[in-house]
Amino acid sequence: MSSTSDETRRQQEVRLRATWAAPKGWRYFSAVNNTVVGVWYLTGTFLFLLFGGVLALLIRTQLAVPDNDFLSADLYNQVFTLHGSVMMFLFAVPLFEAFAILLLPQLLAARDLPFPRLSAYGFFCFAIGGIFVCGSIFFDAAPRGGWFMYPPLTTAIQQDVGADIWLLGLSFIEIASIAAAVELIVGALKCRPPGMRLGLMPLFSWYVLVVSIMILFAFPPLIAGDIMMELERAFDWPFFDPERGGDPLLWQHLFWIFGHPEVYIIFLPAMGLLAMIIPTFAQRKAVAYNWIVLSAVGIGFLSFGLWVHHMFASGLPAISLGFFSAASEVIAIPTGIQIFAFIATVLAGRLIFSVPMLYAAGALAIFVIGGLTGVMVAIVPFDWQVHDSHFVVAHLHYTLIGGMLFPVIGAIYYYYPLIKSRRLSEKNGRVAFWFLFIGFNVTFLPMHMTGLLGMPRRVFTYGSIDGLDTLNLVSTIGAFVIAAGVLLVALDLFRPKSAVPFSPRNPWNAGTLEWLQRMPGENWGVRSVPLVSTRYPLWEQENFVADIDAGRFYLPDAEEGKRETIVSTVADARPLQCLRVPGPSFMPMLAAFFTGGVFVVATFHWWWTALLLGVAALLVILAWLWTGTALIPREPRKNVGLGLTLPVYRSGSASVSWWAILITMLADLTAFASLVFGYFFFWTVHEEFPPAGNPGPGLAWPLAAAALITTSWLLTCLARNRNRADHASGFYVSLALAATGALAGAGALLAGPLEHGMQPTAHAYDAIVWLLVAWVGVHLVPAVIMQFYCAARRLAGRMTPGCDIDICNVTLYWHFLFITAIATIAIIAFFPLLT
Amino acid sequence: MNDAAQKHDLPLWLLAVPVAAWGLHFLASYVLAAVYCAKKSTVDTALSTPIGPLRGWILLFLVVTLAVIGIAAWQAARVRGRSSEHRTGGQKSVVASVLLLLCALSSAATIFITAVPFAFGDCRQ
Repeated sequence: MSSTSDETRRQQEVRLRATWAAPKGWRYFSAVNNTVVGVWYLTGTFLFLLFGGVLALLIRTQLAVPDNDFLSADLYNQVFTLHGSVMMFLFAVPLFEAFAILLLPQLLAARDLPFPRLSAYGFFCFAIGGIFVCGSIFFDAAPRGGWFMYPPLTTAIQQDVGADIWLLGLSFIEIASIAAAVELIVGALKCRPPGMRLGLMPLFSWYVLVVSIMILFAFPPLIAGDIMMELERAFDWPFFDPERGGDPLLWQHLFWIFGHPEVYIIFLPAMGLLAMIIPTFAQRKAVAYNWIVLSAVGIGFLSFGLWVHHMFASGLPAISLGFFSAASEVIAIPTGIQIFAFIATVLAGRLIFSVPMLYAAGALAIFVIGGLTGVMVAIVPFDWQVHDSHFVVAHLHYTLIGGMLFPVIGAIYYYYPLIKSRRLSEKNGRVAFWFLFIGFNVTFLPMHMTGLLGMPRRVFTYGSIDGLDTLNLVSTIGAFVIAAGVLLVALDLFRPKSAVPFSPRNPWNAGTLEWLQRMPGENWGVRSVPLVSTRYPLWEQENFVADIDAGRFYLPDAEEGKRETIVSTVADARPLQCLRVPGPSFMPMLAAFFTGGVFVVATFHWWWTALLLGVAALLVILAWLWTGTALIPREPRKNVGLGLTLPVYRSGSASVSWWAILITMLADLTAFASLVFGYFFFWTVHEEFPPAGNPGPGLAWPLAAAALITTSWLLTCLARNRNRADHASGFYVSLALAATGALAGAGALLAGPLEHGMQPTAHAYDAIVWLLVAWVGVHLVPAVIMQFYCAARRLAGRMTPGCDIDICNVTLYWHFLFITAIATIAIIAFFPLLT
Repeated sequence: MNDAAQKHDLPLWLLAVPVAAWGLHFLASYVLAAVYCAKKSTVDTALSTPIGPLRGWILLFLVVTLAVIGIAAWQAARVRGRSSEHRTGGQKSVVASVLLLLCALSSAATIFITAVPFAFGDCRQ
């Protein structure tokens, strides 16, 4: 350990504080620190929870008595649709992102996440999309088709703007989720402190990693479905219209391929929070760490094999239902393991029953009941009996409130000292807990009965039938008791706390790195990036906190005034790079504003305005990239302390941005695979596909497109190599030819269906071929822009043979584009020959 | 982790192998059954369309899947035994341990799925 005088340390802290300071005053919303963006996210999700909660109270008021006319049928439809959508898309999933952005750097003793501006961009997308969707109800224009928006109700019958608001507003929010997932995966894999190999990662980090990967593969199918449905609604492309070869069941598949993993995307992070809370209050290490990781990974994968259990009543063959029923039973195994591991930790430790632990216990009790009814509805004959009844409403609320809301409120009480350096009221927390716990059971336990008695979901009223009246009234009373509990939590959160003393440091005597934070907190995250050799370093590593505070580890200073963190290897966290991350900027907010504008105005079919906003968004994003990414450092290496010198700039697969592109393109490829699924789904359900007499796109134009796009891809690879060899003319000529080939390839691809007279409104076959072709075309446009961008970077001296992040990343994008284009051409040109 | 331990550890992506093998088995079984019933039967003939021919294929998928999972499990067991010699405090590789557990879970899940076509005789809806 290096020794430094008190004065040196003080000066180091002054420089660190200045470098990591969050902007104040009118520049406040240019902040990108994870500690600030995470709090914005948490506040935003909590406000949406309150809004969704008010909608729930409206539902319960309407259902309090039979034949009630408190809400009209139409308004009731808007209210329950918005309630489900808000709770799922604007509360449950973003809350994971909020906690992960706030906590992950602290858990990993990193200074920040690798792409802080991307976090800020994601937040603004979330906020804009959320306000747009929620605001629609005040104009009597909210979506009315249920949170799953089944066609043909939402395509042929509900022609108003509500469904468009849902499709475009929430698609925009899905982009925010994918942006956060990219950030968090790279953060968990590449930004761990030296020594923290995978097996030493805090359990919440494992959950963040698994859930982020799930988001990558779960959200794109919904985006693909959204595109299809919006094309049907706006341009009459008949993907879901049986009269013209479409099939509404395709939407159900795409929706639930997203929708079921989403349940686990919501549930797993909450379990991750419990995995942090329970060991602290048991004052011992988590029992069966490996088994808990097994559960997280196992659930993450298995959850993708359950989607049809939401479609048991849709008329699929019984054998198909059998596969999904079996998979739905299997997932109980890792879920149970996880819960037993938590209980074992409690039993093996010396339990302190503080407020967060109270919520953790309540969560386990409620979730177990929800899990058991889940096993019941996974059995097909039982599901047929209770399908679309209030029994399912009870089941899903036991699962989501037990599996998510209770752990989250516990985590808010647990982590509040990290957010505001003060503790919430212990007494208030306990009172709120009992309101919530009793209110919850009073509300939802009777719904099992109303469901078994045959009360359907999503129907705005009911007749006076024995049993239903009383049980519904009880549920409504319970809902208001829950509301009182939430109100108590909200009052505790938002009341002024200047009179409340600062919390002591590490107030719960936890063992993990986030509790290194001083009280009041500093924006720099961790005073010096430590060497970690245990899972609970605050408990197990001698003199650990003192050494960190004294700046005896890595990066104790910010001599150049740059924001820096350490990048390490995936498996064993060997330091690889001193990464410089960008500071405050309004670019993310502006970019989100313009991209959000595209989605908002497209809802009303103002296509020219949407185009203008799209161009504005593109220009802002280019300016953001130009000024803030892949900056060439003055010195190529930096001494980060303890005698270690690391490179400041790394490109190719050693660069975090290369990983980000790789992860983003995996999500993109998943969306493309969902469109391909659509093509083959139509082939499965039609006796003749392509329909007789339909010429398809032919062979000549698709083959020409394949040749041109392949050439363009090879030329892009060549341009990367020419740049590395410092062969400027070879680089520019290759890129110019590649761009020309790409544009010509796009033209050839479009010429196939165009020349053969394929009409996307005529039949689902024409529509899906046009969609696949358009998908490639839409990807070729940014590919060409990227090629020009690389040429400009080199011309401006911002990219050199040794500092070539831009062209490496563009080449990676092109690898994926090449796969997408060739797969598209093989499907549209050659598959019809086989049939 | 020292160099020797690193050499004897497993890469993170191996964790995906057993569960992905389960996933592929699941998808192959489901797609095969769905396409078979869609192409061979209609609503009227579903009860008289036997699924016997599917069973052999799904059993074959099972054998291939269990073989892949078995290889992953063997790798995990091998590394798990060795890695403790190279680590501080004799700790075992977490990746190897979790991989071994995932192999057990994936095997159970695959057998669950394989049992399904033996509970049904036809393409009934």
